[in-house]
Amino acid sequence: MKHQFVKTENHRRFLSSVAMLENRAASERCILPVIGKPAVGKTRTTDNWGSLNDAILIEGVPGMSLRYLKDALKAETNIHEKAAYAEFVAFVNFFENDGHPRPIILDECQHGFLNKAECIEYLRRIAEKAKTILVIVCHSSESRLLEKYEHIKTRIGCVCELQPPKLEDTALFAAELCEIGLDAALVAEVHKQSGARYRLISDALSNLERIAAKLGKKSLSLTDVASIPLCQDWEKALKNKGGK
Amino acid sequence: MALSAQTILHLVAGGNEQLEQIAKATGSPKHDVVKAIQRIKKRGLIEIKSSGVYALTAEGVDWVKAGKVIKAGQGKRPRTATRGLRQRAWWVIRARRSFTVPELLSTLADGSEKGASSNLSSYIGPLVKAGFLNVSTKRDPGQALTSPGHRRYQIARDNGRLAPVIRQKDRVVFDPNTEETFPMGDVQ
Repeated sequence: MKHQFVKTENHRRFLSSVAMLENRAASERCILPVIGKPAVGKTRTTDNWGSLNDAILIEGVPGMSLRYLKDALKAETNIHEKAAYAEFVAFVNFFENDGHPRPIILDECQHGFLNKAECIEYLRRIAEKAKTILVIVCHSSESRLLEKYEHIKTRIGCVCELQPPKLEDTALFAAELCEIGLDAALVAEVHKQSGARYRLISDALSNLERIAAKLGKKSLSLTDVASIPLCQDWEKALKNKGGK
Repeated sequence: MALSAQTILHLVAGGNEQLEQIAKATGSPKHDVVKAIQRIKKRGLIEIKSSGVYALTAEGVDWVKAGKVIKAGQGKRPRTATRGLRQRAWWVIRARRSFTVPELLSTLADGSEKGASSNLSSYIGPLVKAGFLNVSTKRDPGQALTSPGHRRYQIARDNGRLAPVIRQKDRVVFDPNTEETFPMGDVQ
């Protein structure tokens, strides 16, 4: 299997959200929440974009305080100002970057909501002043926190909800990554067995390549792998074990 | 003959501050003189006093006094926004702390890069040798039946966001964050 980044519908959705924020009229609406269930590609999408745009990534940790956040920012930006105001100005200048703003990514942003979301508010102020955007990444189940704080909610420019892959995404994955040919029915089977999760789609495609190698074939159809499990849906397996 | 910015600078310094005077002295059309003036103005050496009247700035006076010559490549270089695969890889390495080459490729390479895999491998090797990365003793399973698996690396020296630069000729890795160089040892 080839190893490369596949520009799925989620990637396109993320880029459109970023473009929308970059062209915003109100500079204070600089927050872009990226939400989605596990394995929809939140980390991969933000890593791909963040690395390309020289973003500063801060990972939220449980109990994250403003002091922790400032220390993390200092470590990333190599700023050593001690006075609070000078520190803030230095951060803004760093993120402004001579008119080429550096974005900020806060991963696991659910940890930034402590003490009336002071960490997110601090980052938001920097992003607003530096005319950049603040991408906050969290699991769908934590997105309710965004609703809770009015001062955060009103600063959201656009919400990017990453969706589980559709059949077209699975087909794109298969076309770009799989080194054997798969017929449409088999792609649909991969999509079905994976429960529309990228990690399981990769597992299935990899297994199909092994099967093709064993059979000495360069392409497979659904009939070649009838009744063979292509990947294990562990969530389903756990549910079955629990008798649900 | 192309109108020389240096000639115009000296004419203005010599008291020819009017557009007409400069055009006459150089024998060039006025619009060519204006274009050249704008180029010098961008360098901050000339200012426009009023329409068609120019004067040297303080910087321009110093420039002429020092006998400097205006030539290409002296201005502030435009910032290039390009982010190469290695810089991007270093970004992901720092973000994820532990990685395999296939994981990096799946995050960074979209198929448009030439030899992305070999590029990354020849970047990671020296980083390991210079102590920036550690290699895990266990390998991640590969996909091919006979695959020996993929090496897993962990970041060992993280001095900052600027990507270390391999200087293959000197067998060192330069860290732009601390401006130190680290020799490539024989770590396997």
